[in-house]
Amino acid sequence: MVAMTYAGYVGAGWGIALVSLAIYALRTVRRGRALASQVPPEERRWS
Amino acid sequence: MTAPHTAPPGPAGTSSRATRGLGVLSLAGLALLLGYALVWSPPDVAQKDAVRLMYVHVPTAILAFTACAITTVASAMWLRRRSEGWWVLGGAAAEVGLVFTGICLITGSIWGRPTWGTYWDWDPRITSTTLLFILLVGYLALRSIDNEAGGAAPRGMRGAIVGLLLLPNVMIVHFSVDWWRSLHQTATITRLDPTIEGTMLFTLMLGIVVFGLVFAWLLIHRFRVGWLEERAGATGLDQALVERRAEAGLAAAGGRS
Repeated sequence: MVAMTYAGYVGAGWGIALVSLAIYALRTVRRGRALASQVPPEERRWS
Repeated sequence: MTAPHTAPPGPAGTSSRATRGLGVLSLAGLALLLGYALVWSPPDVAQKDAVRLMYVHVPTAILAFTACAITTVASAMWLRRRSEGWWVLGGAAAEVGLVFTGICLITGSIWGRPTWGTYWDWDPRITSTTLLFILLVGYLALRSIDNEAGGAAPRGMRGAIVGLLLLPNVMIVHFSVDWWRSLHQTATITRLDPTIEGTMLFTLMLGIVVFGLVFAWLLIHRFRVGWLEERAGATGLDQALVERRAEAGLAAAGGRS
């Protein structure tokens, strides 16, 4: 297998992007769950 | 404080069957994209393996611009119709757009080091994209201030006006490489004869589709969070009014006895 050139840059770029998206997705889902307990179910139209 | 509804039926958060399906599709797409981006696509003749950063940088840039366009349209529609849905959509798209713009700037900076020899340059494309990031932060800050001001300021007016500026700024970002001398390359895939081809072009297109799915998933969830925030605020206000009226009723009854 041929070693990848600039592997550190490629790994850092992809790593930061995917970790950032995962953290934001998790935070958004958690915010939704916390807020859902304060809102009557009939207001959650996506059921 | 609003009393939480115990054991509510229906969805327990912002997910639905459609978003769960979209989430699974996004994760499968990301796995396939990682295979193409990091293993199966060939290295570039000039940039070697640094070109693999293109498959995350370009899609996130396109989706950041898409988010700004959505925010501008939502701001215009909110100014016209004052409907809650447009207000929530504008904020949701701006927040997701901020995340994608941030990733675009960071991956571009990392890509710049091996290809240009520098992480940062006062280049028209990089500078205008940074201004777009700052504009998105300003837009979200103004929305937050307007929310807290309540009746003291026309709700969302200032934020919506800043929202209108996002799409023109995206046009400046896009054409900056043509209008001014720039380190950044000119259009690669939006021209009629793309300057890349084969597996590299396929991987780039796959990246745009897959990150598009992730973007859609995030936007739907963030929209629903915004919707719940609005409803929770309204429910809290109703609850406070009921409590206040009950207290007033008790005081009046106590005064008569």
